[in-house]
Amino acid sequence: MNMISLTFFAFTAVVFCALWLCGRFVKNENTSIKLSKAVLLVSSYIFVLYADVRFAAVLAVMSFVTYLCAKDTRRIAAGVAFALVCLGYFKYTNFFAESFARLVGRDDFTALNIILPLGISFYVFSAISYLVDVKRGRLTARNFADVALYLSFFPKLTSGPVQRSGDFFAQFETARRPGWNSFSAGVQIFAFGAFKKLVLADRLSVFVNQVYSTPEAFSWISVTLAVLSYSAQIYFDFSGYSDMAIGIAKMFDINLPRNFNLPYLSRNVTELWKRWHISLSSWLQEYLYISLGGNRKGKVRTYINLVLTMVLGGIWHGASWNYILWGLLHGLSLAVHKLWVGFTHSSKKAHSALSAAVCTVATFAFTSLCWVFFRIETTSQAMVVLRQIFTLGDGITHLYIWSFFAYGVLAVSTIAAAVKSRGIKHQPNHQNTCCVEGFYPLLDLSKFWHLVIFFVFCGLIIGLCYTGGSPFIYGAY
Amino acid sequence: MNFIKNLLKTIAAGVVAVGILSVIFSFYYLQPAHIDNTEGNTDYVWVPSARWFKMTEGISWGRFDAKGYNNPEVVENPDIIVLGSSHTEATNVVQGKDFSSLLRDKLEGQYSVYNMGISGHNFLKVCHYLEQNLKKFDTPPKAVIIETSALTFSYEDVVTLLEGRTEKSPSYNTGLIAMSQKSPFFALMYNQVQGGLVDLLMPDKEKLMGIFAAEPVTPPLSYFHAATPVKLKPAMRKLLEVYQPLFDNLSALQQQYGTQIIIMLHPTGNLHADNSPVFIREDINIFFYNLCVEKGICFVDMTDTFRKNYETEHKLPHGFVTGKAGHGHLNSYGHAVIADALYDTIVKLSGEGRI
Repeated sequence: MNMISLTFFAFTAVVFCALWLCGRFVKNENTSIKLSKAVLLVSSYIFVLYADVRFAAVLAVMSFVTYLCAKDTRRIAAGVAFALVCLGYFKYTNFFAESFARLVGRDDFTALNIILPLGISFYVFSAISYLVDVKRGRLTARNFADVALYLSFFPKLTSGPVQRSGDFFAQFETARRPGWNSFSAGVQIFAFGAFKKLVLADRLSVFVNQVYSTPEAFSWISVTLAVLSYSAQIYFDFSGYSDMAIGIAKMFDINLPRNFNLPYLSRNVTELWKRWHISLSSWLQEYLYISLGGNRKGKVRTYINLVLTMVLGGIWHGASWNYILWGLLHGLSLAVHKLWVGFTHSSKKAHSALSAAVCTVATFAFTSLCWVFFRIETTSQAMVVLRQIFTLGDGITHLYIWSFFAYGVLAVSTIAAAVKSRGIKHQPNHQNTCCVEGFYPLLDLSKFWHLVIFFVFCGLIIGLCYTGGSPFIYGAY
Repeated sequence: MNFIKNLLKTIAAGVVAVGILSVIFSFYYLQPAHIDNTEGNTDYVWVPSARWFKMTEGISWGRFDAKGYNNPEVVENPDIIVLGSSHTEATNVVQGKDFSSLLRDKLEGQYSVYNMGISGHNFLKVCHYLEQNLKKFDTPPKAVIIETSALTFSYEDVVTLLEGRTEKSPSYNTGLIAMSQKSPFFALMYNQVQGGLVDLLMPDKEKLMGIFAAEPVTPPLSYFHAATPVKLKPAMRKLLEVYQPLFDNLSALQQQYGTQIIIMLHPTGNLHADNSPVFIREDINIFFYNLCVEKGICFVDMTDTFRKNYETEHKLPHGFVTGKAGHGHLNSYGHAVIADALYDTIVKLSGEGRI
């Protein structure tokens, strides 16, 4: 069920009404909580079943094994291994089989017909998060229904955010009472996401797809613009999705964590990963980097752990060498940045505006170049794109106007965030970071003119959206 | 009571929002409606003297003439009329930058040029209306330019034309659609719906599965598929059988009204990942050319000019900064190149005494 479809809107409306009835007419707190959970669990499985019954079966098995393993801390490792094996089988079997076939000189490899279950990359991480938190004593093992709901909660199922189990369960300690306030906030956050996705990301996809499929036909100016456009596209696409997920959950009076915080304002790669796909990067830090030893085993191991974490993060995105390379580039840059900070102690020094601007631009340029490897299927294709840029190659100069519009929107929203963030001070050990915080400019929809502004915004979305349709980029992971 | 009050407030807010959106979108998609053509020489015309402003494909503005065509003013007895589709209608480029206007400027003092292009009027539809267009003027035009972006049509469509069964496209003079078209917001909604908004909001299950499946990040190469020269297939040979009587009709009209017909082809280009030629002259072009020569019709094939210009200047005649390069309607560059080619053709025909 596509998040931007009338079917999904109708489905969400029914779930909202059911939850509203639970909150409004069931006075007993415990009964209300249980009913709300039941409504959400059933609706989440309907959501998955609508896509494919096999997806629901895989999810149910994963939920059951996770529940069983969490009951006994001696079985936690088995639970984590099961989750990773599932992910490996569904996502990486073909990649490793093909790589092995090539290694032994077999060119006649035929891909196995393995379907990728909806949201598996995300709920596997959620399952691991829950198991490890139980193991570390941060929370007690939950009943099957709780675990199943945590893994399947439909607003975040497809592409996250990867919410910590503790945060999720904590919200059900009191009855969820969705009403006008939660609906009003949720629908506005959803609309922000829809604008990012339908108007900005999808429009950008038209140009990006064309240039990336025939980079040699375009001049270096157009290829550079396409590279920058992809940086904007992936941000608007994924943060748009996250906003929609957060908005839907908010309507149900459930809070999902923020996933993006104006990432392209980052002044270094370390900061970027605190602002980009926050739920994944914090998951990687907590459950992978720290599990590998983090920075507790000496400098060399710290750098190796950083690189390894990012390479594995790259592989998580997909079974392909370009994702590995992308992860490797980010891992190396994180290690280099850590080395640099250790050498210069620059994180404790105040930076001039010019220095901050140069750092921001340099970080953005590096991130954009890395996206080339993320976007292209093979490294040789990436080289064509880079060659076209750095040799100032000839070709069609196509200055796609929506790229400028998208960056204009980004600039305006950044300025608004900067104005709102005035007064936020640097932390002593984080002088070389940006103090601007993203926010949702929510209106009070009970007021007439606020309602008018909201309707105008919705009209702009429908009027300006790209009707050709473009899949969510992270829907593929 | 409270519910009714809130409902009324919401409806009122919606009405005010539509008004504001109409003002905003009048700078994005101000497009008058099609109305019936009472003179019967095209399916429809635009609202006479109406203005347009479009940013949906290209950034353009202008004003239709008193007859509802894209000209600065009506020419009562033009020497040359230009017939064709939305490429000729050219509401995607600023008025005056379309090939008819550029040709008019180049031929000023020699021949008057009148653009009668209407969107949806492909080559067959133009042939259907050709006689009405020739006899509607007191003096038949000296030349008729027929613009087309394709030479291959379905066999059934050509037979339908030859049998005089070509159907008229509807226009919306009255009713809800006509009323709604007066608001730029609703006109844009209609345009979005035609562009696939309904499909977007109501994807079928297969489409939905495609969205969530593992592959969609990879862009399809389908929009750049190869166009390689092929030998005429049986279906094409069958089609060419009906082209013969079609060209006989054109030739007869040419002689009857003393008008020189000029057919101008502007093919769309295909970009290839391996950088192979973008514009390819296909066998049908050669056949078409031979047929035109045989019937005394002038055929201006832009294929080679487009290819040469692409190879030297890396410019494509179709597409705008608002969409894909090389896709969609003729852009200002394409119009200029075509105007040059048509000017050269007309000068040559004039020198030969054919105009």
